[in-house]
Amino acid sequence: MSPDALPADSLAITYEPDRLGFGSTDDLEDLDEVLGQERALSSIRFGADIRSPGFNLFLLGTEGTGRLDVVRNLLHAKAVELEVPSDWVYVHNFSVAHKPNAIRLPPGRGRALADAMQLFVEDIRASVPAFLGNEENQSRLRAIDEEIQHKPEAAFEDLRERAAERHIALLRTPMGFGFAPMTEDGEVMKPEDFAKLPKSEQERIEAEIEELQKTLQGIIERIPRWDKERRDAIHQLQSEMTAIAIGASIEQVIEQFRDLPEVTEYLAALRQDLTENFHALQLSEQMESRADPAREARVSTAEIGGFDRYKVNAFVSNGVSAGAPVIYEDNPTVSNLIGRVEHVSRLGALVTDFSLIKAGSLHRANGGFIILDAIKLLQQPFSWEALKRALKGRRVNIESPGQMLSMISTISLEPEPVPLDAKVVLIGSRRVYYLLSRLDPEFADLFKVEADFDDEIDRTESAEDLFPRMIATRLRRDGLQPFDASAVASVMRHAVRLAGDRQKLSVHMRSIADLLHEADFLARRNGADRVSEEHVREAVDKQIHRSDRLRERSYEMITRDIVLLSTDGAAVGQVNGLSVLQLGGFAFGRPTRITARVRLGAGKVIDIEREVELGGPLHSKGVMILAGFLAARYAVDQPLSVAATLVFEQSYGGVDGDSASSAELYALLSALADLPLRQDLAVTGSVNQHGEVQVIGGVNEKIEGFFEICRRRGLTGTQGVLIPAANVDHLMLRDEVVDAARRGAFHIYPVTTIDEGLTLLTGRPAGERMDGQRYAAESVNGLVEERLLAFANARRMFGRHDGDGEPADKRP
Amino acid sequence: MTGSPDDIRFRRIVVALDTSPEGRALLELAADLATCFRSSLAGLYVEDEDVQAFADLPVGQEISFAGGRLSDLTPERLKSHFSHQAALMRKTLEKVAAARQVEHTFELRRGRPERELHAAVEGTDLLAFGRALGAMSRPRGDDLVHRLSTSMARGLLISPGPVRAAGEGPVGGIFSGTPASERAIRMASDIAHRLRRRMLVAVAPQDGDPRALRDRLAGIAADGNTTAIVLHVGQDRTLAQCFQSERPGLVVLSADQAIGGELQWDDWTASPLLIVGNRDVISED
Repeated sequence: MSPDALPADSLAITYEPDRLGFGSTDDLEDLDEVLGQERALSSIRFGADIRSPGFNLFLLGTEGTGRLDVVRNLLHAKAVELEVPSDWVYVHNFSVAHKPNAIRLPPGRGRALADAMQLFVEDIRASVPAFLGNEENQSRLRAIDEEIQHKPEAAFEDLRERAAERHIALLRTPMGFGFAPMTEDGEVMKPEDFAKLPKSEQERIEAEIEELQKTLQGIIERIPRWDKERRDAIHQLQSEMTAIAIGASIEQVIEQFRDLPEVTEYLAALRQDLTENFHALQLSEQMESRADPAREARVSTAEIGGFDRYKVNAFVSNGVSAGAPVIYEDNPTVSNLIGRVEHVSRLGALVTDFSLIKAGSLHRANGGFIILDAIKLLQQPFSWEALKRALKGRRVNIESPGQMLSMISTISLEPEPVPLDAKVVLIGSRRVYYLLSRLDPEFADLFKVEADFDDEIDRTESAEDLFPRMIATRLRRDGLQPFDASAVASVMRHAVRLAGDRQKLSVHMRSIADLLHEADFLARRNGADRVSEEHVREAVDKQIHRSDRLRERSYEMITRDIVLLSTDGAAVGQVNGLSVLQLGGFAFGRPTRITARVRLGAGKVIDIEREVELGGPLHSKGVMILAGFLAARYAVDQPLSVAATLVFEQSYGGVDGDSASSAELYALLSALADLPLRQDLAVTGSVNQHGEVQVIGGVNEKIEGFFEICRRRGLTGTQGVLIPAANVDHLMLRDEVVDAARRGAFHIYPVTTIDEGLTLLTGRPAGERMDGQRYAAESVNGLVEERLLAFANARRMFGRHDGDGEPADKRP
Repeated sequence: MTGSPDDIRFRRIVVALDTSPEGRALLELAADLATCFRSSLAGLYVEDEDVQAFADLPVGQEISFAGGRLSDLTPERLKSHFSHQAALMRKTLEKVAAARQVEHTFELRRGRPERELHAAVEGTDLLAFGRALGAMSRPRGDDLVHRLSTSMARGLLISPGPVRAAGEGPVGGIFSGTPASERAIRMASDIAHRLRRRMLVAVAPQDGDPRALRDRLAGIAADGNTTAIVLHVGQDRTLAQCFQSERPGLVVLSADQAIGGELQWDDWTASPLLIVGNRDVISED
């Protein structure tokens, strides 16, 4: 029995515009929900709500399903319910300068602190020097200075007088000082006069000079100590005066932040540091100012030598935020993610300080959510590791890649880590998700919530009601013209075609949105004020046209008989198979001639594609199944004594998949039975060892590919395609194919078994076993069986045995 | 007061040379003045005979200023030192004078420095000295200035404290209304004019109305075609504080002001001083 061709109505579904229940999308309300993604939405809501560590989200699904928009909308809705997160500031660490401290403040207070400290610094720059320079303070400073500075002078003077009393002069010599005996006139004694002195007198003078020398040495040794005493005393006085001078200003800031212990603690440390170091900092600023007149322009960004160390880096400010942040980091480099310490060039050297610490997106997302593209994240060096480290440690540590690799040995800033309380949402493909699950043991601990976005939904009545509203919503959101009912019906047909299943609707939003935009464009260009079916059809045609250059070339090769393919007549061991080529986002079917040759052999079916390594594993599997089928059906009680070769003619690229296995089997059986197969039919479908034809993918593209070749050569009325019966539900053929079927010019045959296909292709019954013995002699199966038996007998005649090559009658 | 700003000048300036930075700064300032006044510049280097005698004594040992180490000061070492210093001073003088195209001479004397300075004052309009006298302790600068001023002809250019460089600061002065201070202001005004510098004048009334003093000062300063910035010196404000905002490159004072108790000597620690003698300070060609 051969199956009947499918009626035209079963080759595609249609939507009648009149039955949709609206005139245009203007009549439809917006759709607030996300169509058909209940599972994913539920996962996202769960992930957003749960605050336990590790419950970060991974949104997996096909690119273009609108995952980013969906998750953004959901998270924004959730974020407004959450508290506005804290501000964070970085301040100078007075104990360890290269490790700036991070301080948490209530939202808005961080910026207020930064502003207050900016004013404070400006204030002390002007007011404190004025205070220190007033008459009273200067007098006190001078008094100390003079008191201690005069000590060595007084000591020298005293020594000089003591020496003078003994008629000894204190002289300045080339390298220091010396003591010389004096005459009564006050002049240095001449050597000859000294020699005339009695010995005892000379010794007395020498002894006195020796004593004076020791005293002088003692004075000289004390000079550094006096100098230090002077500096200490001045420093002490300056500290006291500074403490008084800054008192009012610092108290004003402390009062403003008295409720924040961390801030008041910092301000106390600041007060002490400023008190102790004001003079040094002032000198530092003056020196910098003299060294570089343009310094003023840079004061606010880089200086740390002067009073700018008391400024505050408002690192993260949430003062104007409403709810928690939702951050999408489009470029997740490690520095964009975890922050960075910038540098400025100063006199040829790169320098930095805490004011140059910049927040990363993890800092900004603290208390809220951050969305990242998984592929972009993984492509950035160190970003994935940095993110995991932050999530595991629940804190963000700013490190440059150089620091991570321990390539930088000089002291740089090591900002205090900031605690992390952000929910991370990764968006990626299923492949990335499963790869990470398999290859990164930490992944499962850190991303416990999986939100799987489907790109198709069941074509239920409810879905068909909501789908037009989804289109209407998108049209309004994107500012497109309204679509009339016919246009919506056409879009829905396209959505079914995209799904590749008549029971499904595609919700691949990027594809659908692209079609809406293109149809809108064509309508506007034609001066239409609304989009109708013809615009949608034209948009689909143009989408195909833009992508089908290779398809055209492929079909041209066939129609010009460069690639051999028959669309009429019959031939032995030759059948039209169908394959699908996927080129980017465009797929098309390409008919291919498949041939089989048989001869006496040892039961081996050779797949030439596999032998030359052009066949993939699935294709090889399909061919091996053929051998199993042959042996089980025709050679149960005898050796399968055939050697067969199968090949995709003029195929120079790789072949994979088992969708051509039924076609290969038809060719093989045709060769064995020596029966010609119809060339006006093409075949697709895989086959199992029982001869059942199984479902395949791309059925619409395959049918349309063969149809197009036949159409170009002229439809004969007998042409058609054998498809697995299980694929009937996937049929969503283009209108011209449906129309041809309706006219009886092209036929689609649903096939369940190989026998059905053989009957169609050979025009004679496949044949059944008679009384469980032999197939009917004239049936296809009977002829195959007879040929195989003949091969087996021939083999026996040759008396060959596997392996030894000895004739059977010579065996013991 | 005699003469007018157009016909005054120092005919001969003697600089007591020493190798300190202050000495170099003072030499350059003296050379600048010599340029302005078309004066001759005479460098004087004195080999201290007391030190020479000391080196000849069996007790001739020196204690180094850095560290207090004791070592013999031999006559040979001292001779070498003097010779080296003299050569260095001569070279420095030639370089400074050549840069300004000033006529110059170099004189090496041996004796007691103070006595040699007194001798040098004769026939000299301006004597400049820094550490050339060598003594670290007393006699302090004010005593020496006092002694020199009794015999000096025109003026002393001294550097009482560390001077970084003559610089480009304004010419300063103090106007207290006395004839001596008026002479000093006129001199300062003339120097400022010749050096193309501004002038800073502190008004220090000993009694009377400061406003009247200012009016008088305006007339005196205008003679020199200079800009006068009036700073008030009161009991609560020292002269050093008045000049704190802008340090003068040279301050011109009368001898009375410098050593007569009118001002505290310790006010002068930063700027070189030109002390105008009690005799006529302005000579006529």
